[in-house]
Amino acid sequence: MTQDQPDGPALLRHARTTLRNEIRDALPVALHHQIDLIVRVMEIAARESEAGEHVCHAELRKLGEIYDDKTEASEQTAETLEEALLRLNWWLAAELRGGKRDGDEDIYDLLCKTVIARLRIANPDILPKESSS
Amino acid sequence: MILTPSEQRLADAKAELERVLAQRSGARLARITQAVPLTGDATQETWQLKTEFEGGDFAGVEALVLHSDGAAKGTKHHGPSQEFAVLTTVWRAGVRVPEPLWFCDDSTILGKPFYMTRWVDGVASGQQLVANSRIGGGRELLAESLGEELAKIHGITPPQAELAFLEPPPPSPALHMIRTCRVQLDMLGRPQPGLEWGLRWCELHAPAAREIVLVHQDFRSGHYLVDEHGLAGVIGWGTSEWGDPMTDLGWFCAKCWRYGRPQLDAGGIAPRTPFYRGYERASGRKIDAAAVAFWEVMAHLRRAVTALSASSASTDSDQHSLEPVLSSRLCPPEMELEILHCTVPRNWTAP
Repeated sequence: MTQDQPDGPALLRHARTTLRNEIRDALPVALHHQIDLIVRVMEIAARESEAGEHVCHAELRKLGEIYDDKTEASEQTAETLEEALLRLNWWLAAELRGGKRDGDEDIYDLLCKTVIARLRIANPDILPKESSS
Repeated sequence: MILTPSEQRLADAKAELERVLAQRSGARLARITQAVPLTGDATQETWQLKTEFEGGDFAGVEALVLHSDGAAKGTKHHGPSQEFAVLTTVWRAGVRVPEPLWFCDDSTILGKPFYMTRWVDGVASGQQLVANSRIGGGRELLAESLGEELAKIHGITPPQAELAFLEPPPPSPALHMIRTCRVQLDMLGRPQPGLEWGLRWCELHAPAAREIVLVHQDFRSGHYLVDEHGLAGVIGWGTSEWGDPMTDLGWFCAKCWRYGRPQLDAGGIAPRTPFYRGYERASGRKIDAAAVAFWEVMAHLRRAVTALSASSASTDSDQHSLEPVLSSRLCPPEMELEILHCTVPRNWTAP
C-alpha cells in the first residue's frame, strides 16, 4: 500500500480511460477488440486492487467456521493467506468430490458467498443489483 | 503491405491451391480471385476463396471455404480429415450443412492438411442473431428448424465405418463427461470447490442414456448460419462424438449460450417449445426434460472447465493470447453462479 496519489486503482482507471477514449479509435479496427480486452483486464485489476485482501480474509473466515481445526494449524505454521486458502479449498474440494458434503447447506452458503465476491471483482454487472454493491 | 503469417502462407500456396481445385473439380483452370479470412475460434483457420473455374463441376465463379487447423489447441478437436468425415456423414444424412467437397492431405501445399466446402451465405454470430431478431425471419420457425436438423443428426447411430476414429460410445455418457471434467480439473493444479459441488450433483443425478447417437457436442447459437429465409446450415463440427442425444438439447438451451437473453431458453432466440416441437416431430423421440435439465448444468460445468483449461494452455505456450486468460477470470465464476442456482440443497437426493 502507498501513500502516494493517485494510488494503484486510480492509476489503472486513468490508463483505462486514456486507452478507451483517446487511443482505441486512432488504431485500426482490427485492433479494437484487443483494446477492449485490455480495458476489461484493467477494470478487473483495479477492482481487485481496491478490494485488497478483504475478500480473501472473508473467505478464510467462512472456511474457518467449517474447518476450525485446520485454521488453528495455519496460525501455528505461519502460512500466508493464499497458502491457507489453498489448503482449505483443497480439503473442501476433496470432500465435495468424495461425497462428504452432499447438499450441505453451510457449504452451499459458503460457495454462493464466495462466487458472488469473486464476481463483484470480475464482472459485477452480471450480479443482481442487491448483490453487486 | 505486411501480411500475417497465415496470409503469407496462403499467398505462397495460391498456385498449388489453384492446381488442386482445378484437378478436383475437373476444370481446365481454377483462379482464386479473392481470399478472405473468416473469424472464428483460434483452433481453426478458415478462408473464403472466391474462385473462377473454367469448365468442370463448378464452371463459373464459386465461393468456397478452406478449413484447416489453427494455431491454438482446443481441449478437444478433430483434425481436418476427421471433421471432413463427420461433415460428409451428416451431409449424406440430409442435415443442412455447407456441402463438403474435398479433403486434401498434401501438407506441402499449405503446410498442413485442409478441406474445402461450398460457401453458404448467412450470419453465424450468436451475438448478432440474438441481438437482431430481424435476421432470418420468424424466430419460432428458426427454432423449429434447428430442432429438426438436430433430430436428423441424432438419426445417425453407431457403427458408421467412416466414423471409426470416434471413441467407442461410453456406457454412460453422463458419467464419462463427469470423469473427463474431473481429469481436466486435476490437471489445473488449483482447487475448484464450486465446480466440484456441481460435478458431485451431476454424479448423483446422472441420467441413463436411452440410446447412443451422433451428438454435435457444440450445437448452439453461433454454430449455425441464418440467411434472410431462416436456417442456412449447421457448422462447428470439430467436437462431434457418440453420446446421449439429450446432451445437445441441454447445450443449446443452457443459460450460458443465450447471449444475454435469459428468458429465451432456446439459444437466446426463442422459447424452448418450438425447438422441442421441431425436434420431437422430426425424431419421433419424446424429450426427457429431466435429462435436458441435467445436461444444462453439465453445460455450465463444461464451459467453466474449458475456460480454465484454455487459459492454462495459453499461459504454458509461446503463443500469448489475452482472450483465454480473461475468459478464465470471467467464465468460471459466472458458470458457478448458474450451477449453484440449479443445484440448491433441496434439489439433492440421497444416493
